[in-house]
Amino acid sequence: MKATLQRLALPALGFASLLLVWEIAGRIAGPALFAPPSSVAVDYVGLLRQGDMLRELSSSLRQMAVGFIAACVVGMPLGAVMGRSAVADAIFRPWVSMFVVTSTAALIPLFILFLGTGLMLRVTIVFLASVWYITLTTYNGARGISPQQIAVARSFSASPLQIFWKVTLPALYPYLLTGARIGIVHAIRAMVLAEMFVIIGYGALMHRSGLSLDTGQLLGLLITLMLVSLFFNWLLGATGRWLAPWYDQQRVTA
Amino acid sequence: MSTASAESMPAPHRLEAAAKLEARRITKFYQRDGSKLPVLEDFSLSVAELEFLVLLGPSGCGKSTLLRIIDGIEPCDAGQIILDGKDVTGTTGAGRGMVFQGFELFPWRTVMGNVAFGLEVAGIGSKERLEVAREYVNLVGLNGFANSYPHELSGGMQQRVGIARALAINPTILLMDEPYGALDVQTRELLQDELLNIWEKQRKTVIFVTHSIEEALYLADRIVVMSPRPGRIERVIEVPFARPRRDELKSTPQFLDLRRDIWQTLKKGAHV
Repeated sequence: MKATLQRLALPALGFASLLLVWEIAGRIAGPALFAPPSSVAVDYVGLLRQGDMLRELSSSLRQMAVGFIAACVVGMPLGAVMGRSAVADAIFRPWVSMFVVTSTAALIPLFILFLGTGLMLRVTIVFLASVWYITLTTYNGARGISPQQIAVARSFSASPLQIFWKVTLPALYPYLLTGARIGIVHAIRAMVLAEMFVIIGYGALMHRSGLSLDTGQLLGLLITLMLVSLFFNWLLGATGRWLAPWYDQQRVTA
Repeated sequence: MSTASAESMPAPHRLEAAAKLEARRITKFYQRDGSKLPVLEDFSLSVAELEFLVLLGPSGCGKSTLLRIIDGIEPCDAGQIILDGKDVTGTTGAGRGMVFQGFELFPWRTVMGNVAFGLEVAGIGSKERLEVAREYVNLVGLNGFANSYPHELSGGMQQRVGIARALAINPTILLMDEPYGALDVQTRELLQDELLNIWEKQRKTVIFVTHSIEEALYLADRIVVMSPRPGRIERVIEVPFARPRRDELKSTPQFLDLRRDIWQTLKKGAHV
């Protein structure tokens, strides 16, 4: 009973209080400045009917996916190698430390000069925004691999290749997944950011509804974006639990 | 520094049998704060075929390090490990199976997957290795838990898996590194009995590391008492108790006398 209360009732209460504060604030500010949930709900139905939102969203997400997958393909092996080799750590650490603290927004003007405003720009920005988080999470996982478990494998005369496939990789797996979860949230953020800079795709929709003072639509677009981020985060987590029932997700969730 | 070698000790039954395993003048340093700390220096030991040998000593006496050097997972700075007459220093396998103190199961593998690990890396086909693994899972009494993950098992059950994993490769010498050190007393005693049962069914040479005098007396044919810094042989005891041994042995006067006797030896070398 108490567990159910904590798992469902309290978050619902938190959510309801947020809606309430929003509704009151919206009523005071008026729909042009800050639409209350009651009017956003009406606008949201309109957004769904009109179809622009979902169409732009799916095309933006497809481009985001290219950058994100590239970030995984680069970040995961890079983090793993850095975590297992002191030399690689020394070489790549300055790069990672430098980029991970740099605001993605600050890089966009530079990359517009390099790459123009097309697909390559958005893919690159998404890549740069997510790859370091994926690298660092994998790096921490690789450093944390128990030397005892490696010793067990060696005790059974496993070859270095077998140790990699049968010990290092499975031990790293939860971190790869957590890295991907953190990475995808940053990737979606970067996607919208880049699109708002060059006024294209889903970001352009948001930009325009902001300019036209249509806050109901703007908030609706925001909510969709939140839901999409939450969904991908959940999907990766659920996939992880399904593939790896031994793993307690909480342990490395950053 | 007095380095007693096991060969100089009188041990009639061992003189007849060829040595299964010999550690010859093993030296091992640890690097600490820039200085070299000797863990083992010129340490020699001989283990007879099918002997149950216990290395007994306080923590820091190098007994676990010695076992890991014997297994080949830790390098030594000098000396040789001779197994069945062959130099196996610095290599693993060749009939050695190791049980680890912290169990060290792979959390992503089921009980079966863990037990089959050694066979898998040895390239045994999946049908055969699962058959063998099942046999050993049953041997350690884990029928019904074959598909459980380690985190679903108690500590005692996890170490049963650890033992099955080592036995599954059918080693000729079983190395056990304080296997019950992390378990509570009751579980520990149960597992000691189980180990003796298994050992009586499948005789193997065993080197068992512990700091428990009682455990050593209950299990061993011969106890090598070690003292620390650097690890050396303090005393060798031929355990006189007949087999099969049962729990009642632990309360016999002879057992208690020997236990007190060994405790005096250990106390002498101890500096708390």
